[in-house]
Amino acid sequence: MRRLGAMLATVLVFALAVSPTPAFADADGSSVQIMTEWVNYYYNYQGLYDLNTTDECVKELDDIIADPNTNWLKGYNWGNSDAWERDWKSSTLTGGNDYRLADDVDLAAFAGHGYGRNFVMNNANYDHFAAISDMRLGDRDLEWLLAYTCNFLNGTVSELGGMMRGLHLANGYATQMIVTSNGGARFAAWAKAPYGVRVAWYRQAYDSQPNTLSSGGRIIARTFGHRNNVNDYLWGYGSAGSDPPVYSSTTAGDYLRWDYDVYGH
Amino acid sequence: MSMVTRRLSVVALVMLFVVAILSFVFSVAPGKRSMSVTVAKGQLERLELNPLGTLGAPGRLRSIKMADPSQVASLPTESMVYRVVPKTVSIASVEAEARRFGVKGKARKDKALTLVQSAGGDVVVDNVTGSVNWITPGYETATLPMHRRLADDEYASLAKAFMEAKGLWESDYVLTDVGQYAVEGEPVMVEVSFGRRLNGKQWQGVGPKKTVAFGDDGEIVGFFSVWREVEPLTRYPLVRPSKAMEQIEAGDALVSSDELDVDAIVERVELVYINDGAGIQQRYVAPYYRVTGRTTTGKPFTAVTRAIPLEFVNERPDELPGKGGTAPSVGRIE
Repeated sequence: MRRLGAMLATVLVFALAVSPTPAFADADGSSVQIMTEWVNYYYNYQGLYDLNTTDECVKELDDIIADPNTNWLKGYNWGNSDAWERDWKSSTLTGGNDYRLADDVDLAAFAGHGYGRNFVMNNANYDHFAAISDMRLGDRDLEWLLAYTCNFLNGTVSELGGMMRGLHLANGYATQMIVTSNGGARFAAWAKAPYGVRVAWYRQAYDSQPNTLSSGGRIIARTFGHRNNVNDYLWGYGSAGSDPPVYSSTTAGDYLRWDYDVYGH
Repeated sequence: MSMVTRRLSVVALVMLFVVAILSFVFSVAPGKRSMSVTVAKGQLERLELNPLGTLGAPGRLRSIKMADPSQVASLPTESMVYRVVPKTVSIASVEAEARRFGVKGKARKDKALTLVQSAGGDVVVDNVTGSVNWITPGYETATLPMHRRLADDEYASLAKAFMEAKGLWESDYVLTDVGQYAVEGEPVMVEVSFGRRLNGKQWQGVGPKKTVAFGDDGEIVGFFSVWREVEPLTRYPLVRPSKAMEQIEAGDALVSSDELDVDAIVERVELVYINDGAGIQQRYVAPYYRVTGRTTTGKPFTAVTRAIPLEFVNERPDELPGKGGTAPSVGRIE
């Protein structure tokens, strides 16, 4: 009887080891998850227009979750006055709570107004501005960031580098952009095809961004990250590099900005 | 009158009759041949137009004034509206597109895209617009600066020749730009885009564009497009430019400016057509006013607003402004 039990246990362990579970990998989290945050209503805060497509923009990232071939889950989805600055702010800073939110998932996306290198919230919880200088992303889990907002990545390598604490790639815009209803859907479609995160980001820009902004204005879709992660695929769709070293003066040379000139089209 | 003369007279009368009938038919039938005819207001169908989207940065004009009001006097009071020709994307049609690029394999259809993928390259077609894309491994993995960048006109010539060879070129295409993909400012790839004027007007929005991508030393590594074929619907009356300015001041416009609550001076007003992005169902191509100028602080701005009167427009109900605010809070507590 004992021998039979041992044999069954061996078979069970072996089966678990070789069973074709859906392909995903996440070295630093227990599951692969997406967090989306969006703000349509600004209540004229600082004179800001309301937006009308941010919710639909990031909601369409759920196409990744709907893929039966992978195991992506929806971690969090907060919108309007439920989207908070502290969700993005490092837990090491006063009021910061990213360990439970933005840095507790694998793919995080924000759609809303951008002002300088800030996500603009419509409430002060803890602050109206989720500043890039208050972000320390990837020290818990986050691999990829998508910023459907103006100017979030408009900065030098050193100005952007501080948030890279294990984050593989930050994707956004170095200029103004238009928040469109199809931004998330197009990223999901290209990432699932599959193409790498960087390629999917600038393909969605090509598919969604207009050819003209204010006079002389160009739209630059930007990917910022470590050179070893530039060809990362989302978990389950291909390979991804290991977590990069934290950005510092000694690693700064390996962090690069890849720019896709959408305006040129 | 001789027999020959009599026969000629009969033929001439018949021809005149036919010409008269054809003239009448073409003058009232909406569609391709109605370009010079105004249809009575009551006959115009309401156009389903998509929202313009909103700039993801602060930008708000407090007041807007014309530098030279006489410049809008020459703008037309009506303009042609076009209907988008529906495109059917099937496994067979995508496999045929793939063969155009030498890509062999079975197509598979996803929610947004239909693809044929092979080791040598992929063909990816947008399910809604039928826009075709071709991506090679060289495109996917290009991340380092190119060793040799050609001159812009060389890229344009090579791109045109490529599109001609692949049956992707039409004689009315115009070069719209030569853009680039760069790492730390150094070019990695160059992309040459072509578009098409419509009724003599420029486009606002995402294309229409057909783009050829070049890797190092002029190697072609990809082709991309956001493209819709259109056909004339009929002419629609336009709101006057003064009304367009009111719409912009009221926020019923896509305003591109990084300043808040500034006054603006208009330097140029023109009519443009809107082409929506890939994956978006667009049924009509309608004219919009594009207004450019400077704010009182000297910075440039652009505003785009609807030129078709609201009485002829149905906005897509699922994208009306404020949709996301219907449930602004679920009472989140942390």
